[in-house]
Amino acid sequence: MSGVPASAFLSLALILFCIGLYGALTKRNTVIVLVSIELMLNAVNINLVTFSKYGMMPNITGQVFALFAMSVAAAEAAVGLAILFALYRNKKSVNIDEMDAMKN
Amino acid sequence: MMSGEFIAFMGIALVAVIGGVLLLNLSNVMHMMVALVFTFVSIAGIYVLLSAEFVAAVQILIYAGAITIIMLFGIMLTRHEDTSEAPGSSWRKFAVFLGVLGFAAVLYFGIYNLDLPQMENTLHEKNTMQIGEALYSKFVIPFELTSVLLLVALIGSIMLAKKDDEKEGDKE
Amino acid sequence: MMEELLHSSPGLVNFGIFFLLGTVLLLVVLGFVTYAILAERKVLGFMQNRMGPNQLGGKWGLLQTAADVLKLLLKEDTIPKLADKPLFIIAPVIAFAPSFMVLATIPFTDKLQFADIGVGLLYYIAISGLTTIGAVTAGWASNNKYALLGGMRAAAQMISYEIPLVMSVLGIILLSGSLNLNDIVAAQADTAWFIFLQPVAFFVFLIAATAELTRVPFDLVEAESELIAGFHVEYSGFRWAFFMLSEYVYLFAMSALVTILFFGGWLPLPFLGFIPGAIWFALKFSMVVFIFIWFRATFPRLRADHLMEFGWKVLVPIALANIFLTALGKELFEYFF
Repeated sequence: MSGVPASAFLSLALILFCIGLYGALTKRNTVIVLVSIELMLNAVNINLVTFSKYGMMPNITGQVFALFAMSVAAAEAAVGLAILFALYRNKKSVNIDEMDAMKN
Repeated sequence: MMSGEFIAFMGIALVAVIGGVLLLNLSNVMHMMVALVFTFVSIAGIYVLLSAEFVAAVQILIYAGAITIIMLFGIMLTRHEDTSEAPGSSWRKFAVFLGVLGFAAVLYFGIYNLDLPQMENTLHEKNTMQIGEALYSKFVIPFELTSVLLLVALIGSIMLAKKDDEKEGDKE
Repeated sequence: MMEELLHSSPGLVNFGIFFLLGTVLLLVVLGFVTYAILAERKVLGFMQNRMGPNQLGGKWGLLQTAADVLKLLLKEDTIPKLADKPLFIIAPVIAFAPSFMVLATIPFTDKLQFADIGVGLLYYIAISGLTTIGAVTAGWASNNKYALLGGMRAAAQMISYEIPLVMSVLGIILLSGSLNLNDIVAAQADTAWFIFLQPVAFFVFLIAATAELTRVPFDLVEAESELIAGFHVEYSGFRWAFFMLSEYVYLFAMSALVTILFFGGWLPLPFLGFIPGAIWFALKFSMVVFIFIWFRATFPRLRADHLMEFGWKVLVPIALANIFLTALGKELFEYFF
């Protein structure tokens, strides 16, 4: 039990979350934006599992919640990609800044 | 401080962060996805260190196995430009970078001062059985709702990806 | 012996021991691959009424594969000019590394196992899914339309058949109450081999496993009459050898898994307990490998759309029904006895 402190895991999750956030805000390709969101969800899962072991009351609930988050993330990826295909058929582009039909 | 667990953590964390940084810096979309596979697999390694072996296996199965592959399909089936950079928006990128950095600094300040007492836990003993018992007793209604969600996502994505004028649709 | 080693404190000596054991396992697997290729050619020759390799290394052609490997290593290593070079180089590694990683959890006897982890079965299935990424990457990086088609087919096939593969073993997990491969064998010692308790699961698993290994009735990934050689069309020399090697290491791992799940691993037949477990494992294992080779000589290749329909519309419903009936049977059995 004397190995890695909880803050090390939390810092790693923070770094990955920031990478995902930056990628989601700056990348143009929609697939990469989707994947960056997945990376953010992953970072959140690391936090959940960390607190399930190192929290005030160690408990299995954190791991169960991480599993739920993963299944929702999988569904989100499938639906996101399907929307991307539908958009690509209409606009012939996967760049996220060209999808502004609602703007004007 | 240099216990085996610490060395393992540093190695895995390094691979994860390098994968993430490559995701941001590479220009080819395929290269980005392959870099991200390394991040996903090393996050599974982090779960093993946190005595969550079932979550680790599911992480590899879902993220590295399934989500990455359908994203690769997405890249292959749509037109892929080799560059993913927008021209002439570097000041915006810089602003986003500053914002993310500020966010990271604030959170890091919170994490740095965090001092949790280490409790005894039994998470590593029969991990899968504990998860199963929690899922089927305490969380049985969310569990069933998840199955509905997955079914809706399955049907919804087939309907969305299907071509309107032709009969055959893309299978995911 | 392994058990004590795994629980001892870390140090350079232990690292050395594990490194040595890993190397020994690698050599054993390479030896298996060498002779599995020879056995495949010999058995196919026997079934098609011809001789098979019979020149090099005596009447049985015992050195034929060694010569083939030597030829492969001496070949020129070509990288196409328009290939995506970094991905082209890393793809065989991504395809090969998981194939060796899955061997870690397989218990060959009750003592001889590298990692006795709680989620052994799930670990196998999860890690083996990583090879698909290698295949897709190789198909993409080659910049060749046949390679791309082969890679896409590989991904679609492997993802589709992973579902019946997992669902068919759920019945076994229900009966044994564990994902640990040691516990699954122990459960078979208490009752009977799971091929008798779960015959439907066995057939679904065997079919799905053949598809996962992309062996003959399901080898659309490298269907030479349509796709030349599929995703590794542009590879030559030792890079191609990596793909070949991972294919046969998976044959090794999958046959070992079938032996453990359905044929009781190292458990002996009644009254024959004096024969050591390792020999029983080897016998059952060889039989499963023979079944895979037999498939190859017997069945014609499926069409791509038939393959998908068969997976989703036949195997998945059968596997689901099997789970339902197994759960029902288990409850009724516990209720009445």
